[in-house]
Amino acid sequence: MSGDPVMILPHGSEFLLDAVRAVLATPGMSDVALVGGLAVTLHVAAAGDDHRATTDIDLVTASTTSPPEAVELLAAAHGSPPHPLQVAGVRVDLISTHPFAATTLDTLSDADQLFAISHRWAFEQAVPTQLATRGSPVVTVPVATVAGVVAAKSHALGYPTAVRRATKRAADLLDLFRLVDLYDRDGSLAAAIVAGPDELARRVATVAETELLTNPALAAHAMALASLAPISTDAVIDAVEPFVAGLRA
Amino acid sequence: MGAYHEVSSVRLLSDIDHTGRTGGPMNDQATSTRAPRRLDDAIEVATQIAAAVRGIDLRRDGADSVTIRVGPSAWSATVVTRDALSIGGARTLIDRHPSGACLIVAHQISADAKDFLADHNERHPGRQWSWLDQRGELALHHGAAIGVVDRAGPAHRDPAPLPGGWRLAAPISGGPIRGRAGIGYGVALLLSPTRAPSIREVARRIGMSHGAVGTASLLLREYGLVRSDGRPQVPELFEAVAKVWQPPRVTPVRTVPSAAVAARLGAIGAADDDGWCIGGDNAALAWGAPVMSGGSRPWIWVPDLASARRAERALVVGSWDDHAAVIAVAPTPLVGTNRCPPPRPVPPEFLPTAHPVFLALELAQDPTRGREILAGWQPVETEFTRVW
Repeated sequence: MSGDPVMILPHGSEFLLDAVRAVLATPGMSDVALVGGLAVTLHVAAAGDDHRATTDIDLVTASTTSPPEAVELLAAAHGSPPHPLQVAGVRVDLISTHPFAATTLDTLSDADQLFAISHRWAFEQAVPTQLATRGSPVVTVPVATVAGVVAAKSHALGYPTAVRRATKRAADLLDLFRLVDLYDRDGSLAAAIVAGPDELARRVATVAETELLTNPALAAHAMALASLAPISTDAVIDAVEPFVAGLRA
Repeated sequence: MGAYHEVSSVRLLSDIDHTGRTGGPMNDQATSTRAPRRLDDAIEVATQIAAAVRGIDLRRDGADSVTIRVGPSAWSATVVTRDALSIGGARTLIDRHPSGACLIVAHQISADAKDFLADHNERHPGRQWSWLDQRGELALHHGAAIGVVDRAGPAHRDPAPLPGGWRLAAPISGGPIRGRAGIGYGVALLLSPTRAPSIREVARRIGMSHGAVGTASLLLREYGLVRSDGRPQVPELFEAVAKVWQPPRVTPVRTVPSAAVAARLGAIGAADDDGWCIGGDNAALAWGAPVMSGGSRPWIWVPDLASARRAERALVVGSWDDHAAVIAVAPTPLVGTNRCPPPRPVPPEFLPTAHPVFLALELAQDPTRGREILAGWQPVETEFTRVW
């Protein structure tokens, strides 16, 4: 749609758009939304800052009521094993989400509750966005809002697997911090999450406080290794404290 | 940038003679094709340090000499550069420079050498030796005038943190790669992994002595990073170089250079001439690295401190919160002499990119996504060998 927001990718990343286009064009494919590091990078770049991501594509989708699930559909259509799923030469991670009800959530652990709530909410709130590189045709795909990305990232940061904690903690910390730093200066990011599903704001606040404010010097040091801009301890405190307070207001 | 900080003591004695002197022996690095640049860098560093200390002044007054002021006393000194100076080296220098005042600028000077020079100064008031040990001491001596500045860290370390896991270059006393010769030789092998360059060739290309590069090559062999046939052991050598891949200076600037400005600053030339080149994620993307980078602020490598200073003046020093580009001094001259036209244009388009090996060394500084990207990067251009 011509009124959709436009995000420009750097020259040379046409292959990513080709992969997104291939996913969207897969016959029978259900709706998807872009989340993960690529979505973080798009939002950070839209705010005028630099950020680094890998070229994986992380997508959320709605779980189907009857097989095949989206991942099997894509695997079959693009001649790839389901894990790791490759579409047009790009690795695609696909997360199926379900509508949630308080009664079903009660049976889940804190980690699983945040995963289910945040990813479904990121899917539902995603905004159709035109992605383009200079001189190439655009592709329109729903991209999770900043609030949706932060919610989903909170799960990755707060409840990582051992492998993820060892290899991706700095990048996960940085993703969350950069978005909070750029988009919560007026409290609007916290307000958007507060307006989300019940308990989401409290859960995101707990993760942000535990991972970034309990030892902000350690967090700043870890993030500095992955950041394209320096990060001070004070900057972490200045950005995250009001964000957590806003989530708990 | 470049502030000389953590000054722990300054001693000034003003009852000095005012004769000063000019002239003196010629540059001690005459055999090196890059000696003038090395001398430029040494004078640049010493000038910066002195500028940050009240009561001391140091200004260039000739091709290889500076005027030093300590309080009311002023004298001219010939500048001599060394990577490292031992007591034996100090004796040799004194023999080679039988008269006049000298300032030694070295990455490290041993305690014995300093004691020897201080003792010599006491016994020979007319032949005074000052020194800048870039690990932490500037000692200026002339007659009764003494200016001593102690501090921790490398001479031109920025007190502000740097992005992307970068640390500024500092002298290294352990490990397989301990100085510019080691970095230069290691990089030369990585650039040409199937046809190892000779020590003489590397020495010429990086402007260092045959002996220094030979010593560096022996150390790499001792650590098993160079195989018996002279070729590099990869990826181990790449990892060893990545650990010490630190620019001497990194500065955010407020404007991106135009072609005209770059040409005026001597940045543009044939790819194998010294010059500027583009690093960073967009350059790596152009060479096929699976990196997605938001933002477009270029990271520009320049060959030396003097080039960086000129660029900073022309492009205006900014802050990390407000900058349009980054100017960084390359850890080795080989960055500037191995520039490559990229397969796809990378802004600013009039500059070539750094060689993919250097782009890979940049990504290696980021232990998370940078490493992940590196693991998935298979250069598509057949003339380059993947060494990571």
